[in-house]
Amino acid sequence: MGFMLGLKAFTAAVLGGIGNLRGAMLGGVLLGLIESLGAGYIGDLTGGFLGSNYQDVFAFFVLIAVLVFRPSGLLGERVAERA
Amino acid sequence: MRLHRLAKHYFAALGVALLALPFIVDAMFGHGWVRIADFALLYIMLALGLNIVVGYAGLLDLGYIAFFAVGAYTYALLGSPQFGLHWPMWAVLPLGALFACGFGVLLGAPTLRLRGDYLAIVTLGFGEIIRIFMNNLNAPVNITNGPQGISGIDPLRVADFSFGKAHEWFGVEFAAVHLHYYLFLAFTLLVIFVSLRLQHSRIGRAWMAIREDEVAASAMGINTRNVKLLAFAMGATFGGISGGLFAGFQGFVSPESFSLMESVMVLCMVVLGGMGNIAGVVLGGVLLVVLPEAFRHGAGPMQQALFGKTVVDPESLRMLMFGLALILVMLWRPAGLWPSAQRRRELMPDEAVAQQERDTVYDVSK
Amino acid sequence: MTSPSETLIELTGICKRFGGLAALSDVSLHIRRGEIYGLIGPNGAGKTTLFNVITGLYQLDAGTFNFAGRAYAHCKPHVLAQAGIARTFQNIRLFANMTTLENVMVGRHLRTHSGIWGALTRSPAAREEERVIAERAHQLLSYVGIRRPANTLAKNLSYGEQRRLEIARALATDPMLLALDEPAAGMNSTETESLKTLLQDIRSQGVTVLLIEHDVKLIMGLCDRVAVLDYGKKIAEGVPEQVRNDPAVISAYLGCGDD
Repeated sequence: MGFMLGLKAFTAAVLGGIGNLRGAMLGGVLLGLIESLGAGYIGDLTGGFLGSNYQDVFAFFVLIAVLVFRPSGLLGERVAERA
Repeated sequence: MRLHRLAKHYFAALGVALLALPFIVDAMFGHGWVRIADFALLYIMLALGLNIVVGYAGLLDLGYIAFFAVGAYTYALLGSPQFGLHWPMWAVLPLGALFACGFGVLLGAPTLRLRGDYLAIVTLGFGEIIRIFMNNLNAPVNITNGPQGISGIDPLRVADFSFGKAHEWFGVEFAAVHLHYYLFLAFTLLVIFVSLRLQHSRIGRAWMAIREDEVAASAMGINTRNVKLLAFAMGATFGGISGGLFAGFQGFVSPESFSLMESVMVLCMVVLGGMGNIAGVVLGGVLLVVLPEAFRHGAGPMQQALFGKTVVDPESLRMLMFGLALILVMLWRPAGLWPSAQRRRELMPDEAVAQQERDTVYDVSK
Repeated sequence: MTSPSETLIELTGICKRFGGLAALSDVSLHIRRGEIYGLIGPNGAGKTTLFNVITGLYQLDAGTFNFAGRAYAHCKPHVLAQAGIARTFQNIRLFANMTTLENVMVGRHLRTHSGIWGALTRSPAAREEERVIAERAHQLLSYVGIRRPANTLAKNLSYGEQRRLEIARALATDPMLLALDEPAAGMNSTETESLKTLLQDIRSQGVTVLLIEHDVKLIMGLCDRVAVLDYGKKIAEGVPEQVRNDPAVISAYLGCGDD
């Protein structure tokens, strides 16, 4: 699915910090790790209720979490609000 | 006064036409087209719900179909052999609406403070996530039956009256598709009524103020978070209701019916018809359901007649024409085919209002 | 109504920084009930920042902010509007695609209550409230001197009318303090003169007015007291005559090459 890939790319960029080149790289690496490790262990963590077929949902929850708790991303500068 | 009576006649004529429509369509094109009319009504309901979110409050929601899915699956799970539950429609439909509303709040609460483009991405993701869950919640505990979907869903019925069977009154036979048409028509009218009432109310004005300028709206004392959440919840509720109706009508739901393409389709109806204008959104819904179908049925035979063979597969031609039509409309009528009355109102000022203005002119410079 | 010396808004030690830049440092001022208070200073002196702080668009980094006897630091804009602070914007922010009447009606939002249920049922109470909102909005439109049909879209008003519409919309919230960010910008002298009359009339109705303005003539002719900001600091405060002759003010204006 093309747009799922797009969503993950966007998530990686947001995670690292929009407009920040190093941030995008860091976000990409981190998201990849989160996804693979998450998909690998989710079965153990939920007692087998959820399996690796939920791999795609991690990107989404990372995206929500970043936007809610640290909208500027890991390496992003704090963006002044518009008035 | 004369205008008022004229409007009354106009509405009466429209009402008769709407009531007679399934029979006319049936006689002219056959049962299949009545079914398409039913789907058109479902889509109109969806589009009207999305119109509250996008058209009134200006929040771009790209995962709207998720709420439709929640409504549909609620109905499917509580009224099918899947769990052996056969709850009645009057209980399941509101429950589906309530669940959809709950999901709307759940998604909206953390994300509605985001800027427009971020919100679009998050809602898009949400739509996909719901689909992934529907697709995968079949193991180890089978809840949604996975990609196979749920079949054998109870037909819509009120007490002993089932909309899934043909009935005969006064010597006229009403097929199931006809009955569904009337049921959906009633729900659509209800949704239109609610939309109209909300549009011209304190809440509706607050939504539009947020759409126009969120900072100014909050400086005017509007609690933007709550008001936006309300729009989100209202839209989701409508999505949930039409989802339930869809499940009962179709008798079968699967995750495939709730892809991103459907969200885009509903959004297109809103944008193409005219954001924020109910008549425009209805027009958009009708056009985007009926035209592609007409094209599907017409393109093959037409090519046969013209070239003696099928040159382009009607299915791909259909999508091509659809994209082209969208681009053309957006180029020439960026506000949609039937934009809101505000601009027309401006050209013809209401005489009563103008009179009041003249009566109360206050000259500050004197 | 109230004694003129009673303090309506009191700011002490307000600091606001953006990254490394201190937009406001240690600004203190108090505005009395019923006065017209002017805020002037060269471009970039922090006037609008101060406005955004007292209307809740920015959160202050340090200092206290009391309004009508209550502390309001770190509040959302709608809370401050509810408390009785209404504002206009330097770069006009109307609801462009809504009618003039609707713009003012939105201002009544926080003083009215009908919700979803009232809207759906159109109960007598909801209808009555709606009627009162519209009536008040019409009144305010004519009060500020907008003589166009009430269903003119806000974006189609002239520049001066848009500024007045912003004032009408702000007045609709029944404010105690009306904060105007350069209301005379872009107006010709006739319009400025009628704006002055309007502001004096608003004050006579018991509304305190806080005014940012570049038009020194307007400030001097209208304000009871004036504060001067420069580089985020208050460099002078007092009655217009006194401020005009203050050496610090003169050097700030000359030094900046402004005017």
